[in-house]
Amino acid sequence: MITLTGRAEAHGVSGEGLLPESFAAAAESEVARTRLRFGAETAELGDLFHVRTAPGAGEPELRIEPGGVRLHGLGTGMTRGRIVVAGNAGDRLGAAMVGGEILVEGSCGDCTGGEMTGGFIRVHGDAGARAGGALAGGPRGMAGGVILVHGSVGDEAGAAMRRGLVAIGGSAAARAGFHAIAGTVLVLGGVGEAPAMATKRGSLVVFGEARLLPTFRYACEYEPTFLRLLLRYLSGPLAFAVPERFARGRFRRFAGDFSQLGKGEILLWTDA
Amino acid sequence: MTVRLRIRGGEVYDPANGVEGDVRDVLVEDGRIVADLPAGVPELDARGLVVFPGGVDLHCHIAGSKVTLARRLSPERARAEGLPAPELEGGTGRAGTGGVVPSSFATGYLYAGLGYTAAIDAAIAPLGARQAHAELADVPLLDSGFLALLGNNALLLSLLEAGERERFVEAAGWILEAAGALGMKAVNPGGVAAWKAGASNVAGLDDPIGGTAITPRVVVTALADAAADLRLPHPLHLHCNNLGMPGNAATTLATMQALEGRRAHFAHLQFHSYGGEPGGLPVSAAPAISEYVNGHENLSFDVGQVMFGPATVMTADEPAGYLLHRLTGRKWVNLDIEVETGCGVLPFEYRDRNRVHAVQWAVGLELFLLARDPWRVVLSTDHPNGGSFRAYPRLIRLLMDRAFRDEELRRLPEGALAGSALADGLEREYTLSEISIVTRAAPARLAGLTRKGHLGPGADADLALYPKGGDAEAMFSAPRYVIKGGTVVLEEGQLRRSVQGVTLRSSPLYDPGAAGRLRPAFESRYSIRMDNYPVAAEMMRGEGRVGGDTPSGGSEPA
Ligand SMILES: [Zn+2]
Repeated sequence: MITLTGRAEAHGVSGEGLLPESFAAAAESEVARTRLRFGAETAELGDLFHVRTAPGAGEPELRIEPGGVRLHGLGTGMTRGRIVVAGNAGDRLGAAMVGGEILVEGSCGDCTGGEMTGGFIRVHGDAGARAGGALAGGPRGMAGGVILVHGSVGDEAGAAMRRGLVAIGGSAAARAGFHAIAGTVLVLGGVGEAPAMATKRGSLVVFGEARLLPTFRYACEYEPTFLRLLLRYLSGPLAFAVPERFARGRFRRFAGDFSQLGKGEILLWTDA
Repeated sequence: MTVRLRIRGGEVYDPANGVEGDVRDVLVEDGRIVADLPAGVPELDARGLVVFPGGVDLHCHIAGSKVTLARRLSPERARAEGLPAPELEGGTGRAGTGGVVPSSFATGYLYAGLGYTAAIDAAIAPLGARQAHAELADVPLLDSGFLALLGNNALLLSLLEAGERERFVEAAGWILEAAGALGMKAVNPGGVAAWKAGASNVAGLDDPIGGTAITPRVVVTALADAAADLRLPHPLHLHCNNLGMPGNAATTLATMQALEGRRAHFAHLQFHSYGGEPGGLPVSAAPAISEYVNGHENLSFDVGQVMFGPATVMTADEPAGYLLHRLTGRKWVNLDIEVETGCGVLPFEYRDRNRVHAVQWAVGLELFLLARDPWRVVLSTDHPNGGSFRAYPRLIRLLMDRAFRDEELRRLPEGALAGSALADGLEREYTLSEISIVTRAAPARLAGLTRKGHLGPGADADLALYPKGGDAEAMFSAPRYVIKGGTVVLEEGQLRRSVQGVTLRSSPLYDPGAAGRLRPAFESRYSIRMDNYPVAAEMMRGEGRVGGDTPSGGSEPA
């Protein structure tokens, strides 16, 4: 296991390339010489962090105690192992990750899990805009994996996502599920304006307040089996707290967005 | 202070002065090449290195709204290649982004990193000239200028339609001077204007433009005459009608014939050399085009080679941009520039397994290999349309190394090269001298840059020194030294210094009364007042007037 403890005030540091497996068996001094992009220039990792290594068995683990260092792109392209951030992370946490898990004890910036295809991200605090969404300029968002945000998220959670799950314990701001091609965004709180705007086949599940666009059409009220299983999975194995009353109740289904394909849906929980 | 340098013992390729690989010294004094230097001046050891003049890109796109739009359209490509700031003597350079369309400062660093020291943006709307000058000033290490788009200017077309030839010429001259342009460019002459006005694109040289009585033939010949009348250093730079269409070689040949001996430079000729039927698959018509060009000394061309991998289409040929967008279904920007032109931008990818792309790749190489006179050939990828300028070293290897070329050829789809001379096995391999011509001497001479592209006394001291040995791609990717205006900017392969280039512009010759005669028509068509249209000289870098009534010719250091 490698532990990096922030020793400077530094924003705009690129954490790309900092992966659990990249320092396997490396000496502390060697890790400290790794160069990271820092604003317009580069900096030595050792100037930003104290490095400690400890032998460990099993999957490689990288622990970051960020202090005043804000790392962007941490876990980009990660394939295995575990990253724990004992504090806040920057933008693009776990972007394009394929496997492994990332746990953030604080909050993180925009595009958390952007374009990921596999793996698991848990954020105990809040996440910014486009969690699970496409990165700037990208045509598609996440295509697999799970993102759990215990707090709230910014705009466009799951933007252009194709597959996978984004579960949000708090609320989601505007356009949750924007342009989703498929996949599920589940929000235990309320959602901001224009939920699921331009979705093609995605599912947006909302337990709190929601005001729908006129391009969504009421279909029916029912108890979808997949949701009961999903909620059980979330509150059980994934340790994602779901209020007891949500496991009961029914859902009103709205089909849309009819400005697009119209094969997507918004499921609004109703206390039966 | 006089700065002198003796570049000792390199293998010099300066074909403009008949030097082809002789081992000799090159002498530099105050930014110029000189014939003699006193003993004891500082020396640069060039033994074992090949010495070329600095590269000159006659057709690329590195400034203006199209380039800015391309960057904004594809942030995902910029993100993929962050470029930290180079550590320069006396401070840090600018960080930037790479990819197919690098950021402005990075563009200068990367060009210089290949040994290029001058570049001409081939398509600037005069209305966007102010921005283009500002951007070129942020592209260090290159002397640069641009060609102004005139071939679809509604005001100019109306003068032609009215039969006012003299007024047409002086108006063109006034616009070029106002924009601070080096030369004139026509893109799909008439076709863009017609398409913008809601009529269909023109399909050939004799199609009426929209509802008017004039045709592309009238526009092309009138602009070619105007370039000569205005004493421009570079002739009309022409992007023909029907870009990219199967069967367009017929239009290209008809255009060449229509010029009847007038000088013209054909832009990215590769995109205009296809046989086949409209709507079908293109086949190579490079042999027929090459034969015609070989027999007509008034014609020159840059190739616009397609390189497999990512590219960005950016063109003033708005209908062509729209067509490609419909074909790919990918993101696209369309921009109207009032009165003057339009613009289409979209990310693109050339794949070696795609039959159309394979034909395009082969046609480009055929044009290089079938050309008998390298002095009328310019190496280009139409950056970034056929691929980035960053692929030039690989392109040079394709020209110099037949085994490498044949290996690449074998990856193409079976039967894709029907009709191509490449399929029959073109043996030719470019020599270092010929590479020096098509990347330096020819583009400089064709653009009228009398102090570029050669190493004779009086030339700008722009040089690139490449290590010998290894393959040509490795060699041309990594010059050991690059010298810009007498300053050693790249040393031992590392960028060490950055200097600002100058603006390359011409001095069109026309009657000073032109502005007054143009005013009523101008004020009635443009939304900008005529007095606000010209770019003030203070907004440009140190000026290098080229040709025309500036007797010195060539560029003046800032
Ligand atoms: Zn071009």
